[in-house]
Amino acid sequence: MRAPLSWIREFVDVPAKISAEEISNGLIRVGFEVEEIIEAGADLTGPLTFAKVLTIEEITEFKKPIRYVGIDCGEKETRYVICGATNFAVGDIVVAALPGAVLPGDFKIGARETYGKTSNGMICSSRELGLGDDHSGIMVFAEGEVEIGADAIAVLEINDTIFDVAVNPDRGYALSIRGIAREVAGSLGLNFKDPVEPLRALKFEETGKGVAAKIEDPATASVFYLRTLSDFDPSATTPIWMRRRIEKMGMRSISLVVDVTNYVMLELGQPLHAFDKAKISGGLTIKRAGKAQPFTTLDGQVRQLDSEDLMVCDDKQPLALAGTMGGQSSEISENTTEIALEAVRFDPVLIAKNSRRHKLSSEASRRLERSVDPSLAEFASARFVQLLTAHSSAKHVATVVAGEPKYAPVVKLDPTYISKILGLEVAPAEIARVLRVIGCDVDEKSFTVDPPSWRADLLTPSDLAEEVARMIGYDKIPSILPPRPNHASLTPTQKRRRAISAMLAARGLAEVQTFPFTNQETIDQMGFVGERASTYRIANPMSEEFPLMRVHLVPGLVEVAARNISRGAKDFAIFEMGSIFRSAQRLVPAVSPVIGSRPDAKTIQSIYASVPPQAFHVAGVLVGKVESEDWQGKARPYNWQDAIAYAQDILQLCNLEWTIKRSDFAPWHPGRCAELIVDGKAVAHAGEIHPRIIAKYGLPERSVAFAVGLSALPDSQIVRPTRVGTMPAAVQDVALIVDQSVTALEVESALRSGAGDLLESIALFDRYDKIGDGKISLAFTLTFRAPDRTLTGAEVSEMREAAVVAAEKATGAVLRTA
Amino acid sequence: MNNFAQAMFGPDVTTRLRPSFFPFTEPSAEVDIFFNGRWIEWGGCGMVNPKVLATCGIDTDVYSGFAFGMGLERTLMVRHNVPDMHAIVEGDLRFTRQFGVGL
Repeated sequence: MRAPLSWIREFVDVPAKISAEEISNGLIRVGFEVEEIIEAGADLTGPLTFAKVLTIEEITEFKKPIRYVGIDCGEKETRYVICGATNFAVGDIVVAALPGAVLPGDFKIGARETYGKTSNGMICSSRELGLGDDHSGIMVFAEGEVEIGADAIAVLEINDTIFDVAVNPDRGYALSIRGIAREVAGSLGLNFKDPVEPLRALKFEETGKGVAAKIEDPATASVFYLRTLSDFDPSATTPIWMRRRIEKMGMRSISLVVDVTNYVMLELGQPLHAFDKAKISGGLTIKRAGKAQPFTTLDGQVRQLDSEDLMVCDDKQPLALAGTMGGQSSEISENTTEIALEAVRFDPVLIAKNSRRHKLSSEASRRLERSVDPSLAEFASARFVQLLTAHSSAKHVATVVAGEPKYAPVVKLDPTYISKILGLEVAPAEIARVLRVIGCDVDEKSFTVDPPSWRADLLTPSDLAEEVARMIGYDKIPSILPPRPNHASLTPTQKRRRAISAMLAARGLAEVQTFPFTNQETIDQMGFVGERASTYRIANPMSEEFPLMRVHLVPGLVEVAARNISRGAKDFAIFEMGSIFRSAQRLVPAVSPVIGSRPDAKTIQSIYASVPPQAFHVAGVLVGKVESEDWQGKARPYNWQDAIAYAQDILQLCNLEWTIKRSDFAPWHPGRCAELIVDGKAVAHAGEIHPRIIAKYGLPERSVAFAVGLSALPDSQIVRPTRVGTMPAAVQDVALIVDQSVTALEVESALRSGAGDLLESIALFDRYDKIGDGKISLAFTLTFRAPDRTLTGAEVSEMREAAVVAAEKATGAVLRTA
Repeated sequence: MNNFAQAMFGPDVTTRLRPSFFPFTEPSAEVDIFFNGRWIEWGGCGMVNPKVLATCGIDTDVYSGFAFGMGLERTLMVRHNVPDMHAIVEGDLRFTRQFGVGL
């Protein structure tokens, strides 16, 4: 929202000694961020003058039309300038920059030779002067509108300070000069003259029958003012001051009727819509569209109406998308002589819905969806009649009103609540004083507060607490560090995540964070299918390239790896912790619970049922060499064992027990992927990344990855350590020949089962595959220990024997003798 | 917020509250920090809107709440003078490794 200081001054006596910066700071202090202070006209110096066009010589020998124009600048002699625009005629008044002038963009005007003539200045467009975006031609004024030879900088009020203010969504009233001026006055302790006050007494004569007004459903709009005017001469032009104010607000001047509606909206905050009365059949009714149908809005777009759209209709058809944009069929044109002016206090939510459904945010909808002062339907429409009748031949015919304004209820306030919530002692009298500054009526006896008509947001004591704090100054709130809660600490889940992160980082893996977005191409490329490939599409993605939520962490890590490789990195290991998303279950639409008390169990359950499960994972990608070649040894590339080891170490850190089996699982290489199982559930995978992905992303061959589903891991159990024996251990080695299809794990568990309770540990130490016949040899070290005695050689041999027998039985192993 | 800002940015940093709007706090404020000679928007805060507490089944006559939050990336950028947010999310190890394990 822009606010020119010259306009603010109309409603606030701002002493000249108060600088623009002080005003800006004042606005910031009460919650209005000033994004920019624009010094309009600072980049423009004169002489800039009004001139009358006396002669036009068309020069035709160049590619574009060129005019050699004789102008009267109020000087003794005619001045001649070259001009490329053609939108003016002899007798028109234009703005001329004379030699010595500097236009925005440090464009110095001097007498110069061009197109074979001497140009002694320049006649200017609105954009060349920095007044607006209009560059369709030079600015043209009517005879009598301005004085020839007058200083155009002064007449066009070019020099001004314009505040560009960010208005929070709860402060719709501040989308107006009235609202901003009130805040400036309140913040700086200055007197505020409400522009609505002089409008309260306005009375217009009823000279005929006005267009009828009706609100079909009182829930859609509370009050509807419809003012009918006639005898309008469509050749009437907008006065320069009004046009300039509209331009300073960043809008364009269109025609007198439209300009007055916009001017009043900017001044007071109430959007208005003017219909060409001749194009209305019967009366106007606010109602729903009722059925889908095409409708052409003012911008020329044909829109398909939704049956729920709120419309302003005549007896035959919809004429305007309520509070959002008018329709083309009843638009004000250059032939309009009779006007029906609509001012309505629509329901904010319905206007927001209109605007969202049609992706159409207008100056009107922006205000109405933030709630407009209900009293303004009357006063803003009166202001329109006042201005239009003052600047044209238009006459008021009749005013028709439907409904009545509805105001927010009074708020019962306990003044001690304010002090309690702000942490700042504020006396009741002071509370009453500041609430009156913002327009409330306060009864100090009962401490009831009646908020002003424009503050529909003041409904509760906490709303009033903010107002008190704002007007006293947030800087007065003391800074007191609260006592530390004595039982706040991390949850077991948080601790587990941090321990895993710290372990991986300490081992040299670098943590990265990627965006949780992906696309179908990536999902397909990774080989995900079925449930693992189904995910959620984002309604408004940050990038159209990544419209889906990720289903796995490895793809993001592969992309980061590829990025690092493309920038010259060769050997590295990275990991990420984060959520993944799979739309395995159908979500119910979100319910909005009734606010104010805890919803029942069923409602709470349905809220959770509307949120997708978001599994938390940790994953890593290992690329290149884990050790580089140097004088101490050969290089060693990362291999699948490293990936599996990381997955195992994570489970080990969580104090869990697991089993491993071979797996075919995307995005890993089929058969070169290990699945880690805890409590019968696959919780982690690790191994070589699929060669297709390696090739596609340009990773080194046999790059490896691991992923652990942390959400799927059970809680750690309380550790109950076995007693540690102090008797000597007996160590025995066995080498077994097995078929090469038999895994070491199978042999190991068979040995373990046969060896008995005194087996302390078992470890594979050799694998020999040069035996032939599809056989291999696996060698294990078995360590035995008894808690209470030294084992005899006979006992140990017996246990070793039993272990070998069990392995023979289970896996067909044969003891290797030589 | 003051203590948090000082822990993040050093003892000389000052904070400023500006009235603001969040649907879930009332009153609400934006928190700015004055760092390296200019005001920087850092986060938002406010007293938890009693409607939120009541909807969670908390007795608002007994309890009130203070809520606050700030952007991690913004904090990192300001604290470490990182000019471009992209560096934080793209995972170039030449950038990431400079931070070590702690900050």
